[in-house]
Amino acid sequence: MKAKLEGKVVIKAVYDSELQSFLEKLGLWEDMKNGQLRCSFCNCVLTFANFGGIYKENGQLKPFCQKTECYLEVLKRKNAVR
Amino acid sequence: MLEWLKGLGWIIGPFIGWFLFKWLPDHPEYGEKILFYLIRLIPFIFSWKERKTIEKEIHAYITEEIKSVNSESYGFKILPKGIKIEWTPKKKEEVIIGENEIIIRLGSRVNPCENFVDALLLYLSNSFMVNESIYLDPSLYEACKFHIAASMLKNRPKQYYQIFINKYYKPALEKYREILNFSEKLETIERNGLFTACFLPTLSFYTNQWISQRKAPSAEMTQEIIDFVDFVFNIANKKEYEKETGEEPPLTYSKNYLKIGVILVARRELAKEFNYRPHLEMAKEKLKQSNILFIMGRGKNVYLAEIVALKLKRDSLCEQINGANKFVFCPEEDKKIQGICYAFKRKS
Repeated sequence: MKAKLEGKVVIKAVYDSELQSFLEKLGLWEDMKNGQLRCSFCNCVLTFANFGGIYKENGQLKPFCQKTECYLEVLKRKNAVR
Repeated sequence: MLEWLKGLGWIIGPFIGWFLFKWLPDHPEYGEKILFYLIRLIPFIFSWKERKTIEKEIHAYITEEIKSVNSESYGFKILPKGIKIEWTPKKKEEVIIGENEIIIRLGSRVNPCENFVDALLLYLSNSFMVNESIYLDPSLYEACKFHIAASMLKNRPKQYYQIFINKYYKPALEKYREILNFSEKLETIERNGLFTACFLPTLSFYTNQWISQRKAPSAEMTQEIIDFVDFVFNIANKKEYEKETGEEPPLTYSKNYLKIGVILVARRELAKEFNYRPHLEMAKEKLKQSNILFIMGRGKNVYLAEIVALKLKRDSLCEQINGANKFVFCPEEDKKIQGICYAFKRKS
């Protein structure tokens, strides 16, 4: 018997070619250009090459880099919130 | 469809011909503009195609695996939700990020497999036993999530599994040492085919029941689940257990909340001589004390397990939970043995 699925998990993603416009809309592009945007976990400087994504916690936008450790930290926090 | 397209071609074709060979030479001032827009369209088409490729790969494969995991778990909704990739930002729309919402970057990663693994892990964080996890020890939940990801990636080309293990799984174990204890046992359970055949369905069976009965999670429940990992591990690790203790691993787990019975069907001569009566009587006896009973057969005993399950299905006291789970059991590297498992409960 096949179980019916209950809705879908929507994975929001940004594609490389739209990254600039995405960051502009969030008001973070200038910070990235000036080398002021940092990863919320490892504190490395975020550039176009190593930007991994962004999430919101307590109303604050928290960008993170592409390092596995930082991505795992985001997922862990998401579970903790639940 | 083809006929319809042909018809459309016959209507539009002459217009395109007229536009290119008659109108455009007569209006050269527009030619430059049109060329400019066409050139701008090229990178957009390429990026659109790449996005679609990534989206299709993630969607198609994960959807297929969700169905396979759920059906292997006798229809228990281990992964209750599907997946959808939504690209952001959409044209001219404002970007709104909700509280605790994650937006990940997909595209030119060092290794394209990383796009897939990132999406898979994010999906599992949002779908894998989300409500049921309140009854589980957080480290056990994390370990289960990694193992379900590993089992979902096993059917993909090798590089996906390797990227997952080297780039995600190993760093996760180093970073969160507390999941190490569980992950070692779950690895053995998974290698022996009991992860989706016995362990996850049992968790889902009880936690769903507790949710519907509005039972508050307690330390006792959590501990019983932790001890259940050892119970399944000992069955998966049967030979080693017998070597160490000199006896067979226990096949009944009876605690305050969790009551599970397992029958490893074997001894063909006994089954044939008494027409499977010893197996059936043992199964019925175990089902009196357990809420869920697993009938398992490995290698040449698969056939015996099938017959025992078929006979038990006809019994008025037993109810089979969906179909069989056919798994592959790897006692040694490069050695694969087929196995089968059925789940039963008391008829209500």
